Amino acid sequence: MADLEERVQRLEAIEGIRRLKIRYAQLCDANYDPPGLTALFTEDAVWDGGDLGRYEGHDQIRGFWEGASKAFTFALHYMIGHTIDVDPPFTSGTGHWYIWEPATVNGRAVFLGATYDDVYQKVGDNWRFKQVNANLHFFTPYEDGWVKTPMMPMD
Amino acid sequence: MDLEERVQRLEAIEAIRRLKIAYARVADDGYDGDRISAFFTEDAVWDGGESFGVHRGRAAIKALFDGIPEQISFALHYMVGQTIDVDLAAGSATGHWYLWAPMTINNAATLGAITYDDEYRNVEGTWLASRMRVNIHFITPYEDGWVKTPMLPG
Repeated sequence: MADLEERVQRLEAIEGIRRLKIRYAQLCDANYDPPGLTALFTEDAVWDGGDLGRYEGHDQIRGFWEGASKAFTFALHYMIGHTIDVDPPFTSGTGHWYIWEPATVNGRAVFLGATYDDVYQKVGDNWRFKQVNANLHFFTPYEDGWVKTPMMPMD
Repeated sequence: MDLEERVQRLEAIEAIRRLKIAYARVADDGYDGDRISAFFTEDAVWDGGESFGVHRGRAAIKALFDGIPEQISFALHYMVGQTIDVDLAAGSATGHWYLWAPMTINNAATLGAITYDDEYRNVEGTWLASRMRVNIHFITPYEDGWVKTPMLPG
C-alpha cells in the first residue's frame, strides 16, 4: 500500500477537484460569469457539449459563456455523483459527474439531465479544467417532459 | 485514534461512495445484471419492499436487474447526500442515501424519489453491498405529481 503521505494527497486531490466543479456550478448560477468561468479552464482547454457546440481555448470558451448568460436567465446546477480518478504525482485527473438542472431558457422553464466526462490539470496550486464533455440526456420544457420533447431547440 | 486509522476511514468512505455511484452508472447504462450484481456480496439482499420485492443472493439480483429494461427504458440515478458509517475492525459499514430519478417507464416520463439503507462488507480489499433496502417515497407520472399519484400502479 502507498505511504500515508501519498494516500492523503489522493484524498486531497479528489476534494480539490470536487470543489473546482462546484465552483463552476456556482459561477454558472451567478448568470454564467464569463471571466470567472473562463479562469477555471487551462489556456488550451476544450468545452465540448455535442449539439451545444465545441469551444477550444479561452476566447471561444468565454464567448460560449457570454451566449449562455443571455439565453439562461436562471439556473441551478446540481452537481452530483462524482467519480474522480487521480494518480501520483496528482497533477492531473479525470472525472465523471451527473447534473440535474432546472433553468429558465429564453423565458421558458426547462429541466436538463446530463452527465460530464472531465479532464483536470493542476496549474500551480489550483485545479483547472483541461476538457469538459457535457453529454445531454434531455433538455426539455417543464410542461413537456423528456418523453414528449427530449431535446428542445436552443433558439 | 492514530493517523493510519483516520486515513483508512476516509478511504473506506470514498470507496463505498464510489461503489454506489458505480451502481448508479451501470443502472443508467441499461441495468446489465452481470455488471450490477458484481457490486454485491454472494449472499446480498436487495430489498425493494412490497413494490419491488426481496431478492436474495447474487443470482437473484442479476435476474432482477436483467428484467428491468423491459419496463424502464431510460433512467438517471442522481445519488445524493450520503451518510456512511464504517466499522474498520469488523470490515463492515452502513450507509444512507437519497435518490432522485427521472425515468421513462413503459414509455412514460416518470419521477422517482427514493432513499436507501445499505450495508456493505469489505471482501478481500473490495467494498461490496451486502444489503440494499429501497424505500420508495414516490414514483409518479411526470404529468401527475406525487400528490395526485404517489405510486405508479403495477
